[in-house]
Amino acid sequence: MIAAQHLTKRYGAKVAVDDVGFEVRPGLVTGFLGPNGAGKSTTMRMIVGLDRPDAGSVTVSGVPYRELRSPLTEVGALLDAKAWHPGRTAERHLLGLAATHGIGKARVREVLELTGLEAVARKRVGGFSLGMGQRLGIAAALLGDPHTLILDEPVNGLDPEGVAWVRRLLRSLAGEGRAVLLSSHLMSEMAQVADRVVVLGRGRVLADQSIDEMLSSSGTHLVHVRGSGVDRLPQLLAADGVTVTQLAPDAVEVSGVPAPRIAQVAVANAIDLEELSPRRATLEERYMALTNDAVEYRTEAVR
Amino acid sequence: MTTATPATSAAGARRSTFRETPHRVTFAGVLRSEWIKLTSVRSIGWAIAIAVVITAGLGALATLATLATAPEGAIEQGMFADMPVASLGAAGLLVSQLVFAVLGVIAITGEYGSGQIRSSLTAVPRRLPVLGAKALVLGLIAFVASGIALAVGMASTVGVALAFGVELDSMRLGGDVPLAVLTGAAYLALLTVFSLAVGAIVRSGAGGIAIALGVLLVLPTIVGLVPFEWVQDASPYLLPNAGMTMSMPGAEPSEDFWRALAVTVAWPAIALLGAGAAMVRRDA
Repeated sequence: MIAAQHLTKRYGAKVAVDDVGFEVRPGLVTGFLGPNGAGKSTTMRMIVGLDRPDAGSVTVSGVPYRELRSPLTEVGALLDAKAWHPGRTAERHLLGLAATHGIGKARVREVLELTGLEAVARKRVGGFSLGMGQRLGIAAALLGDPHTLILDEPVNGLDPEGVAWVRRLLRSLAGEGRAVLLSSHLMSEMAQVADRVVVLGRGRVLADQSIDEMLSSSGTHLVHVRGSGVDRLPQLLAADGVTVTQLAPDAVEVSGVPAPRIAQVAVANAIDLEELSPRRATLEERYMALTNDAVEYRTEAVR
Repeated sequence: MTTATPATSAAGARRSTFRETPHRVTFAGVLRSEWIKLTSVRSIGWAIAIAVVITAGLGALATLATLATAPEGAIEQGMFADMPVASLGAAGLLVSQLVFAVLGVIAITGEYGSGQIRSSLTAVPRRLPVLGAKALVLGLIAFVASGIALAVGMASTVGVALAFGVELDSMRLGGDVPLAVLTGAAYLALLTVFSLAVGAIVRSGAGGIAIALGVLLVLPTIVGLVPFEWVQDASPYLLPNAGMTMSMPGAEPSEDFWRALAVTVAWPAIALLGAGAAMVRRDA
């Protein structure tokens, strides 16, 4: 369980995190979304006490992280950058962390096995690939069998098998009643694994809701209509807030009108429907719409 | 698109599914962790090995060179009868102190440079135990390694002198020799801890080494060059000067000796206080 209230962090004149509040609840995977520079990593660093907030507070299991008596069994964190000395072996890196808490060798071996690193346990981590590094980071996060997990882009660099493994792992960790905070830029991945999402943009919370709420928010009802005569729909449906986009001579996309109403209009005007399919917005579309104004580093549209 | 419902109801699920953990962060655990970290990085091992070889070998080598190039018959005539063999044996320390300084700096800046520090401070968020344990473990390693090196250095210097026919009785070996091994090792250990603290403050290997070497080499030179009396008075309070005063065989437990010991302890103590304050206050 993570609870942040009015969390604020400034770097000089720039406000990286601005009055942010959210909860990461047990038993759920909470997705943490936002453009680059939105403040996700800074927020995660504040949760585990690496950075000090300028205002506000964040607690883990009701206690500020720095005051936890056994931090690794409360929170396991995989932060974005490499957090180990390249000259050390994977096993020694984990043993060094485990020793602080009196966690034994058996648990180190367990997490090495769990993350598929047994074969390279005695290899220096400097030679690890990006994916192996991610596995080591996940192994370190799981070391204390923690109640709460914080994972910043855990699937970055993993092969498809690894991505699927992380998805199953996160679902099972949440299923055991653990709180999971997951950041990722892979929207399809996030949509599959997250129960809730917290969206940051320019250091502020833009949305904090369940995936269902996020996807069914108003203004995103799109209906795909196909059939002969659909080109008459623009006039027939014309009203405020309704847009009809012609996709092909016999296909349009309607937004702002529920599907049953389109069916009625079509029948009444003798339009021969071949297809009438409501399309839910994808997480990616909702995310793009939300963060459109909050993107820090934008790529110019390709001309 | 999956909209999975949570596998368990949210509230209250946590505590019931987890037994209370028997694990705690303890200082003994942090000590063990620092030992594991320091003994599992090759650069640390190399620095210690080089320091030991220099400490042990340089005095014997200098003695060998001196005696081997002595004029014919000079040794037999007793020209080297008053040779300060033990001091020669400890002379390696003059050079190896630079390696110990580098060792102290890289022991901590290696963590900052690699990102390891984020793991270390996430595991021990109170932070001070990390610095304290690292200082203790590294200081102990430096003390033991340099103590052995100094003993070996003095013994091999005596061996070289004996081999060239210098009389053992004329070497002025007394109780001050084992004392010098201890105080020399203490100086090198304290210097290593001082460098560690400097590294923790500046968090950069190059910067830390520059400052540590500045304290060892540049400060004494500047003080030696400035003719003002009050600057000259500062000389015994410089770390390397105090360290040499307490480390050389023949140093009596006199007023100078005790002052040198106090100065040699004060440098790392003050630097550690600064490092601790910086470490707790700053973002990692």
